[in-house]
Amino acid sequence: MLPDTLHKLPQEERFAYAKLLAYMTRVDNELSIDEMAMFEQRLGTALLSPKQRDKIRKALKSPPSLEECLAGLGEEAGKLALRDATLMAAADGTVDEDELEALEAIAEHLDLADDAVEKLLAWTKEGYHWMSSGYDLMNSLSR
Amino acid sequence: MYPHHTLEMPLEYRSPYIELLLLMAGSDGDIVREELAVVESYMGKLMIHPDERAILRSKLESPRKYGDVIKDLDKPLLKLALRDSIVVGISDGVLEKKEIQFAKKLAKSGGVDEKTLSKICDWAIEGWDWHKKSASILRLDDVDST
Repeated sequence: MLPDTLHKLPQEERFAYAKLLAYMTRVDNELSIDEMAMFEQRLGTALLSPKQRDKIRKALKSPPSLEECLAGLGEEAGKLALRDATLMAAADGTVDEDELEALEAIAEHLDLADDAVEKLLAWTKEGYHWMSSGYDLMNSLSR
Repeated sequence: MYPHHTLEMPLEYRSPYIELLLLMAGSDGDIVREELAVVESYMGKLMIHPDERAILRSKLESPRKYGDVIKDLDKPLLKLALRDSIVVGISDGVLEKKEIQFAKKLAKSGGVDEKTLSKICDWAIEGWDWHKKSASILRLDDVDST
């Protein structure tokens, strides 16, 4: 929901970014409502055309391979996709082993530091605390 | 209690909720791409049907009157919309004078005092700072995106 540079990327890069997120949704063969909402949220931020969104939603049923997804990604789009794949993987409260393996594979493809995923997971946790504090703030208003 | 999960928001409230975010985005007379991206992300988060999203986008050009939109939401949702409209407002880096005026108007409609409004703004800025940290983890500043 927060601003970033995603919308500034060329449209084909944003499409490749979204394909990687579609891949991530199916890594553990489960798509929770929280993950789906996070996925749709990120599609919104990517400002894809309605046709591209349709294509991406179809990719949820038969996701492309990880190699195929990575092949279409530039450096910046790849890094943003890794960041948001981490957020999405954690959206249901846990990041399972398959998801972690996929995140590590993306980080390796992007030639990131060995602890990049670990740092992103810590960052994600921090973000969920922030979001939670936003709900706490709202709840305090209703008292 | 506020819904912890936005998906718990009843369907009939989702569109007027987005309309308020659009009104915030347009309050300074100019909707920038950053603001649009954030409003689109909320439409995604609320899982609004694609056809309904097209209708909502058309309201960028011809928005309903503020007074008519808020009639469709209850007070707790007006407060939640206030919080999220501030996220929309700061998405281009600055809360403009007219955006502050809009936030104050929305705060009044939702029964939120100025001190609390200020707390909500602080919370939004904390989120902005949190999000920026990811750029340094990923060394995004080093990327040449030209």
